[in-house]
Amino acid sequence: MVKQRGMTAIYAAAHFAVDFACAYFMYRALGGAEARLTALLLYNFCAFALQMPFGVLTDRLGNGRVFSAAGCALVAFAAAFEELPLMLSIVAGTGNALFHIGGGRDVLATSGGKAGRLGAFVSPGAFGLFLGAYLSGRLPSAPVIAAMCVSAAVILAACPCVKAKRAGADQLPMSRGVRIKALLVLSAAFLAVCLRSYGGFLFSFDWKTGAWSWAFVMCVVLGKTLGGFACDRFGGALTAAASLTAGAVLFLLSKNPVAGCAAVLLFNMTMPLTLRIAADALPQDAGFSFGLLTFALFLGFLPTYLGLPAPGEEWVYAAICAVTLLFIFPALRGSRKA
Amino acid sequence: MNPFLRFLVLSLSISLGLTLAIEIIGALIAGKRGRALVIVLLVNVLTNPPAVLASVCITGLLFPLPAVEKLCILAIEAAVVCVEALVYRSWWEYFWHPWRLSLALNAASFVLGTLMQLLILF
Repeated sequence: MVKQRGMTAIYAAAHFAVDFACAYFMYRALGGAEARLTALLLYNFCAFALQMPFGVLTDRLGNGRVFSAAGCALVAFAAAFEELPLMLSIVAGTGNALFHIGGGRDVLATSGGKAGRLGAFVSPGAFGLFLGAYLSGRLPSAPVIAAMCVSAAVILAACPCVKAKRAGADQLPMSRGVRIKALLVLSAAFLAVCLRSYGGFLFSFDWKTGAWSWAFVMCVVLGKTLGGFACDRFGGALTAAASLTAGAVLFLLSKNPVAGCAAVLLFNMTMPLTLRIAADALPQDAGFSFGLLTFALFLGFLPTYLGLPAPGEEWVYAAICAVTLLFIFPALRGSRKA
Repeated sequence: MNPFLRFLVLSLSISLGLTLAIEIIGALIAGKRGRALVIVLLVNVLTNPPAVLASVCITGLLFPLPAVEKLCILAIEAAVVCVEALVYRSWWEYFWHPWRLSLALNAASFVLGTLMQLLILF
């Protein structure tokens, strides 16, 4: 258990570093680039959508730490393409995807049905992205490249080798009923994540400047971390119901920065829960279920990217909370975490 | 493009492309197929960029002396052989002789890479 906690801590620290480096390189290269929008789409496609096929690969091969370390090395490699934004997007995005799927699969596969460690692994990324974007014009790139190489070395040296689960003779093939149930649970979790991702890109608050922007990001990070531990302590259903209902009410008051930050914290609490639900639906394919949900994140990014009308109003945020809850409940009912 | 960045992009891309091609062909000759080849690819993506970045930084920026440069390249190659062998060892079901395989593949890619460099230069 101590070994696995250590592994989660290393992956969480590396998650911060990788997302920091990706945001740092992207913002540095895309400052005034003409191909900014294309580069952004390419990056998000590689970083989020590619995790699904990579997830299938990690499930077959196991040993996610090598995928993660290779991802760190690729992100370091991306630094060389500072003046070729499209190449940088592809290389950094692919590196990011490899890192996430390797770490995510290993943490999911060793979390023993709990959600706490999933939240701890996932949450530092948001802060890394924020800080990387913030420091992109203020920091030389050499320390960032060095940090990526050190992250790769530490992951490889300190994280345990988590082998692929093989279908043994004692494991019966899934019956048709179980397969349909798993499909329904995954679909509900997938839709909940799509909607949460869409909400995340939609949120815009007048007060989100200066110190409040830092508070906002800290609430995202804290929400994801607390959500995992709350799910383990109080159960998924209670956590989802309480956090999303309270979140919806607070979003109605989100003109006030304190209420807005609290709403964002509560909104993010179901993040580790959806990961847990998906992993429980496909216990042999932790990597694929992780990748499937990151693909949902990519789909949630598209409406904002494509410039579809984005109603940035309080009642819309509250409605997103409520509808997310409507998707999470059937998923919970179908999974054994209810 | 900045000349140093151009050099870095070319070194990294050519080196990674060549290494992948040579090591995958080497692995095929060694009888590796399917998943084992994917692992060889992954391991090279892991070791090649840091190795090239380290050799460019150490030889070009820190010690621009030919003798030190050769020693540094040897040390980096040795580190790459060790890391790759250790990674192959963790997939023991696909790689029965990880140290031998790592040494053979890296030696092949080093020798062929150097030969190609010489052919291009002269």
